[in-house]
Amino acid sequence: MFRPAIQIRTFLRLASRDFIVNATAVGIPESFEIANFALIAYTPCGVETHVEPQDVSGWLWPTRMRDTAMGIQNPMVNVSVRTNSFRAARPGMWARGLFFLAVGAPLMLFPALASSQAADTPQAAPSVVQTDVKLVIGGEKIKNGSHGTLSVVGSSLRFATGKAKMEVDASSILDISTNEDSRQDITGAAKLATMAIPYGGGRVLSLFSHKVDVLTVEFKNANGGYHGAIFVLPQGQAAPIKKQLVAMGAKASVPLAEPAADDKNKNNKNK
Amino acid sequence: MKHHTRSAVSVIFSIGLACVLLLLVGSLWGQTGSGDSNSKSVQKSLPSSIQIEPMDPGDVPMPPEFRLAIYENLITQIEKSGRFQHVYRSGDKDAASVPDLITLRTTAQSFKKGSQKEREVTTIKGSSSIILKVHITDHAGQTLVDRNVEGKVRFFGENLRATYDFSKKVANIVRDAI
Repeated sequence: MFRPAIQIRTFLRLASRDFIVNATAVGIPESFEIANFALIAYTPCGVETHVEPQDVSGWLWPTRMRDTAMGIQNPMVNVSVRTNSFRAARPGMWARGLFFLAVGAPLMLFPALASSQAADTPQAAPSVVQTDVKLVIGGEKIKNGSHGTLSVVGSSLRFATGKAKMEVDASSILDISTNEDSRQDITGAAKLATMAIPYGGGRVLSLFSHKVDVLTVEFKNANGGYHGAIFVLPQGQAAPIKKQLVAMGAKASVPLAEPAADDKNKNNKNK
Repeated sequence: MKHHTRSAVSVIFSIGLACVLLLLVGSLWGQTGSGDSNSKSVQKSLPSSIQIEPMDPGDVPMPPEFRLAIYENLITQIEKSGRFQHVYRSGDKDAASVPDLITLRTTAQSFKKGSQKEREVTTIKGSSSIILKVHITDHAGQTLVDRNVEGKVRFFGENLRATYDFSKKVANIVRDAI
């Protein structure tokens, strides 16, 4: 609300050198706080004159607007000069004022209209978002072992890193499964450094590990090619993503109720 | 006398230059010709494309991440070997029209999921291993490769590293055998 006020004020500074424009002419809605901005009029000599609100109460009342905010078919221009002595304005001034009105009104109302349209159109907000997910393998353009954000956006699964992203439509998912696993707390370069600890001290550090969830997605690409992607998530975070994808049409061979438990049982039987 | 010598030298030089040019052109022509025949013979005898099918777990219970890791690692490693012009995924529509396509299938024989913790603490226990039958057939269904290959991780690395080891071995076999 504040921004249009500034624009109107600027506009009035530009347009009305020695006359005042009725707010209804530029399509200001009823709720617009027209009294909030200072009414400034100028004399032809460029002297700024501030108008008191009570002076303009007769013609600055909120006026009922048509549905189309941009409509300026019948611009009502009140050219009654209230603050200067040059009452009989020249016709050139009128023409200039009308021209500025015609050009400026759409420009002035464009941001408000655009923002309202943006608010009306629903944007696909991710329903499930999980950060710090590791892509183990299967990202076409994304390097294996990359960390990123896994989310369900619209009807597709999206994995995005800082550089690239991959998206899999739920309907193209042939199978989705979750499993539990554990990962070492110390990995990478730090792991190599632990090897230098004498008397096998580095081995003790291998005891520290944490549980993780493994999400496996099998899908087909546009050409019919079979793909697989494996993600490692924090513990307990894979099931909501699986649930969401299955609700959107993804197939799952293992039931939703206890996906991790089923896989675990299989593994135990194997042992 | 001097004039005659100079003209003779110029004639000999021009003849020599022409000979050298002829030799160069001839050798280049010969090289391109032999290259064409070589490439033709290569195209005739060696397949240019391979299609990789997903692993068949058979009766061996195997977590899905291992199945997928084997499949994806195989594609990566065979692509990396540079042996084939195209490496097609299973179900790829473009593969149907390739005349000299060979197909790689893998079937699980045994699987042992070890423990990274055990491996790194004890150094003798907890190894992971997978043994799969690798079966490669040509377009007519004739067997080109049929053997068991083992992938394992003994000391360092996660369990899934066994799939990487397996895929590297298969890529080497494919490169040597075909």
